[in-house]
Amino acid sequence: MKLSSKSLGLAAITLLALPMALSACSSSGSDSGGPTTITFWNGFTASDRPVVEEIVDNFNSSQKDYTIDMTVQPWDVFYQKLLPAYSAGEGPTLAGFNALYFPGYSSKGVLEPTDDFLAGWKDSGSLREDAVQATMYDGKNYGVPMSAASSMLYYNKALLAEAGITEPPATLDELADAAVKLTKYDEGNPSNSVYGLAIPDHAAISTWTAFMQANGGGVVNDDGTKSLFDSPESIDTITKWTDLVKNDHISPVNLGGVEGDNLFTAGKAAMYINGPWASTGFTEAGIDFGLATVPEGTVKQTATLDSNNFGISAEATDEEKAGAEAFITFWNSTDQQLVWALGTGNAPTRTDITADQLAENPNSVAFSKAQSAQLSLPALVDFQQIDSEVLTPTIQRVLNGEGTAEDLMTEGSKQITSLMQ
Amino acid sequence: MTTIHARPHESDRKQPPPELSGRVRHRRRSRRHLVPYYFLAPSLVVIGFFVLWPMVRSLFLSFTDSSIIGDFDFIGIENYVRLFSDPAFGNALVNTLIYVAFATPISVALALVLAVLLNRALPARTFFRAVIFFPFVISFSIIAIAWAFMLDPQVGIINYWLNSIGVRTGNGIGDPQWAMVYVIAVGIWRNVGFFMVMFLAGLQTVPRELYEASSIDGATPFQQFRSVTWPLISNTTMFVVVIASIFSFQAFDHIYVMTNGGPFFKTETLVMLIYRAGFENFQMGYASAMSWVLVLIVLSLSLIQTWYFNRKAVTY
Repeated sequence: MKLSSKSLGLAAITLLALPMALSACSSSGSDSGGPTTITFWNGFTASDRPVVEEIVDNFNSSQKDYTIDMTVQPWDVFYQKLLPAYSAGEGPTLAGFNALYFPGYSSKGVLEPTDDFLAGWKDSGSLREDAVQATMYDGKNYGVPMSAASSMLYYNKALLAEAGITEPPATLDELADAAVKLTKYDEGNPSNSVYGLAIPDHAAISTWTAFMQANGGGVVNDDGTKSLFDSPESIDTITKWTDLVKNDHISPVNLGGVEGDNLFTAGKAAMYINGPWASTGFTEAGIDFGLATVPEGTVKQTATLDSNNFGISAEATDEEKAGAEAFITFWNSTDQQLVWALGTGNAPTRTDITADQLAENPNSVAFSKAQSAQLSLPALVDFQQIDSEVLTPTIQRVLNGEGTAEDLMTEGSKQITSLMQ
Repeated sequence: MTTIHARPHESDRKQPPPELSGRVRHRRRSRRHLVPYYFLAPSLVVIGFFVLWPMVRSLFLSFTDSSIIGDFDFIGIENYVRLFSDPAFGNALVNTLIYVAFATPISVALALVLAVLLNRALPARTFFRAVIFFPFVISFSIIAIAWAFMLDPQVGIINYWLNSIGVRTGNGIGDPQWAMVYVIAVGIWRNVGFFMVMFLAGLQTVPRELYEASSIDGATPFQQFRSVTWPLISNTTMFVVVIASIFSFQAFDHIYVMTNGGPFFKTETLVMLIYRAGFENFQMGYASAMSWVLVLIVLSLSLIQTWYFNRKAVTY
């Protein structure tokens, strides 16, 4: 065959097609000899990110056996990719994510049980107990604490002083009264209003659930087997607080987590219940805020536990598993927990760190003192569906006057029961 | 009038050397024939991998109870039967139809008006065309985030200004009555530039002589539009209407970012529901079935629209 320019051209074009087709397939490289690479995914994109990176760098430079290769992405992208990644065998060796998701992922068999690791590690007793228990599923533990915090009551000191409130409220009744007193609602132009207590109803930790739990109710019971959504305590709590929002305008309706943060940052919310991650942003915005434990209900004082835990992939090799465990141990060591807490304002995962050691960051002192908290939707394999199809829409419907709390919550409770099966 | 037809002369064609006549001629013709396909090959391979294969796979999955990970069973048409009685599907379908019914005609009409206006020799015409087209070029999710902030009832500037002059805006994008309105408005704002550019291209094909002839005959601008412009851009109009409908049926990006289908599913469209069922509730089989139902709906609508416009097509 004569090698004409035409046939060369044709060959070139056909060859060009191959890399494009092959680029669709990915090949995972593994290096033999040298440190084992441990892939680590998490969603700490905001002000916590530099501190996470610092601890990872500290680990990588402290030893030569393992290298952490960390990928940080926004939480919604993270959760979209995690399960498909596990399913394709491309999941990360180590993943740090919210404990609420652990029952679902554990039930699909993608995570390695950590009971042996916890039993064999001398420091596991020093970790916050509720964070350790948060990743239990079907009798086994599938995670190790990474960052655990209770929500607390942020309050704007200036606005409280202006209204003559000398101390932050200690009970839910006091909270209700204070919220009404602090609210200055402008009917004509709501943007001019100042709200007593900003309560988000979606895309945030559920304050509504914490209130129900404090009064002896909740969405589900602690082992996720029974719905408490139609209990009289739950219904009364929601009725009382939605009335306060609807009639006394203590909070805007349809607030998301981000909008709630914005409101408090803008000085338009006198009080706000949120976790430690927001503290840095509020400080930077120049808000002079105080932190108090979430007020006590009729039955107990409780807050929302927001726990992010480490999960080890069930597909990890022994070498990778050892590396993941080494990093977990390192992360939860006293030195690194001080880096974490002081850098982010978070509470450390260890209960044996004293307030003096945390004195540099008063936020982390405050958050480490708040120890009584519980998960909002514990032990639920389908927690996302229950949250997005029942809890959030029901609260929103009540707030928008689409029915009474009693009717909607009774209906919602039936949906929860059918979803739990 | 006599017409002269010229016939290609036999002697005009180049004669191959007699000893190679049959084979060489055949090879030359077929090689030339295949070159376009070699150029198409890379695109076809990519489309095959990233469009056709997922479509086939999702059709297969729609007959299973797949949940992304783990084993799945073949369950026949159970997913399809289920979606007919699923209130979430009914709600999403109604929301999507409302969205399409408003977004499509408004964006097409607005685009046509803008195209006609910007077809004349105005001073800053290029600037206006660029500015109106610009929203189509930016990532939709990012501009939707910007809109979400601007329409926020507490800190959004649009709500603040409108309320200050006495216009009630409800609870912004959190208001059950208003959320769909805002979402449709942002969707129209995003696409109008693209349709306007298409209409501009169509308007360029209308011969100027027809306008001159019609104004000599005493036609008003409106009559010119109705009798000259409108019939001659019918192809463009058909294309824009079909594309606008498809875009409206696929409304997702800005809804996901601005309202996430809320409040309580008031703005949940079909694609939002497919996403939620597939990626949040891990019901891939069910989500695949819903997406194929959406394909059939959009396909039927496009066929109807194409048939309607072809009937009314005008050729000169």
